[in-house]
Amino acid sequence: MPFRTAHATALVRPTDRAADHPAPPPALAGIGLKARHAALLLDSRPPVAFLEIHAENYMGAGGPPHRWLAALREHYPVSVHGVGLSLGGATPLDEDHLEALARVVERSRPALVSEHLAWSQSDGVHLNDLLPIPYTPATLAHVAARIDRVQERLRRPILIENPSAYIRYADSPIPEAEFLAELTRRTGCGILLDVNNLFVCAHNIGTDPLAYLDTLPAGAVGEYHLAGHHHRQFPDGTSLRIDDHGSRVIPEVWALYRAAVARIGARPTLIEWDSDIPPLDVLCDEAARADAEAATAETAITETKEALATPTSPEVRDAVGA
Amino acid sequence: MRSVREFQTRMRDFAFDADGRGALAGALTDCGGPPMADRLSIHRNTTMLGLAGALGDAFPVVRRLVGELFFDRMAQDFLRAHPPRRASLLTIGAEFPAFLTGYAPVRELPYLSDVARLECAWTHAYHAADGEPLLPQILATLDPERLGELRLSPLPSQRLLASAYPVDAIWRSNQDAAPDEEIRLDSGPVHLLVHRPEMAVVFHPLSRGAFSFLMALAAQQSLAAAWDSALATDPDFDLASELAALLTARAFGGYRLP
Repeated sequence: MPFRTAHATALVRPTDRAADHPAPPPALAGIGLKARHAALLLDSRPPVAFLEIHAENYMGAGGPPHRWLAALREHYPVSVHGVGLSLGGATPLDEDHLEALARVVERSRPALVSEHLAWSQSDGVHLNDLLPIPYTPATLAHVAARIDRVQERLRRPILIENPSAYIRYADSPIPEAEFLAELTRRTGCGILLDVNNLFVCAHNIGTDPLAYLDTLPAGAVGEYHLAGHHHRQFPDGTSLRIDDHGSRVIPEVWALYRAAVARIGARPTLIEWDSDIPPLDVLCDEAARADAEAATAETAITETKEALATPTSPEVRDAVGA
Repeated sequence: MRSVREFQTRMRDFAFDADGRGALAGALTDCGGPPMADRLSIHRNTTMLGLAGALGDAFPVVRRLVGELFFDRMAQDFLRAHPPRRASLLTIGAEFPAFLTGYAPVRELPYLSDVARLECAWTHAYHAADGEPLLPQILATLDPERLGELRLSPLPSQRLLASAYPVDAIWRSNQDAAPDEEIRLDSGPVHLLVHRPEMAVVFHPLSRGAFSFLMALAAQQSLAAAWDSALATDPDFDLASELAALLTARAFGGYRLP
């Protein structure tokens, strides 16, 4: 059990990393690599911190996708994001898919590898969806064992992403943030906090996002995801927020991102955009915005700490309620 | 875990088949706002519309030929019959051409299934392992006395496709910025080599004899045996010029002289 004993905070510290894979990217924003942007990215090389790929799009043996990725790897750290492993699935882990993932990881030598706290496969049928699981002691042991297997095969720790949800299970006694925290303790995995998913869950199923941030072990969070979503209104005035990655990040999600950075710290942050994909400069613009938002949150924290450390400013102490 | 497994099985059936909502509700709890049916529909749409979209991206010419609305319905019928067994959707729809052959609503488009086979071949070639094509000069370096024993192997990207319809012309005329090309469905059968000598997928029209020749070589037969095979289908098959043309088209990935 090589990763069971690893301290979770090691994941985000380059100095502690295993020697055979690249250091995590800096705590700045990156973008998803889209085939249509590859040539322009290579020509113009915009200042984004990393490129994230969906592992499943690189499971072919060769061809242009690998050629582009190899060329872009010379200029950007790569993050491999799996969407098909079905870690929360109740039927046996798809070992063929894990092998394919391992080949993608070996080939692209990524700085980060991540997967989802979700299920997407049942008896070999792939749903092309990331569905939440109930959080119970039994599912905790099950998912932890599967993460152990994946980390053992990939020979490196992975980050686990919180899902978006539209349904709530009747029997799910463990809060999601505690479930994730326990997974990091049991397996040494890290957490990929998708801020948009957290916001979507708050709206759809009543998750308390700030309590969630307070519960996550900050040292285990290795990456953030940010994305737009679709707000679907029903005639009776109710609504659901649908995680479609098809638009800009909304102001409320930027606010939650600042709150996350203030509590947890800045981390590599991905702008996700998978449907109605815009021109490259829109993605780069969102990435620059993420860097600015994170800097704002960090500055606010630093100023507050400095103010609290200065004995001559009682007004500030009063203002922050200290 | 047993109850989780049962729920996931029911959810999978619901995602592909729309029935069985009732069987899911027992495991879920109300959290105010929109009713459960609307919430579950999001998952169903993610699966069915998402996969139909992926199938359409893999078969853009078929989609264009039948129109997007019709394609989406046809795709959902296909997906119910053949739910994807792999998480990677790069090769989604391997069974789609055969499905189209028996799909009554497209009976009046008899070429559609072959167009789908061509799109499958294109996708295979695009994602296949890269190969180093043999250079035409290679023949001059071999012992002429032993050429009959030569084994020529295809590039990993190679697919050979024969159709009663001009599927390559149909494919070309349904690309963006397509050239003006008159298509006659009765113009006779086509034989195609689909492969990727470098980064671009290429369709190379073959004579009937060259098609048999490449089929035999792909089955690891010797040059002499493949020549016989070509002559059997096409008595006018000219080995020297056909082989030179195939080498120029960079059709081969390697050779062996046993």
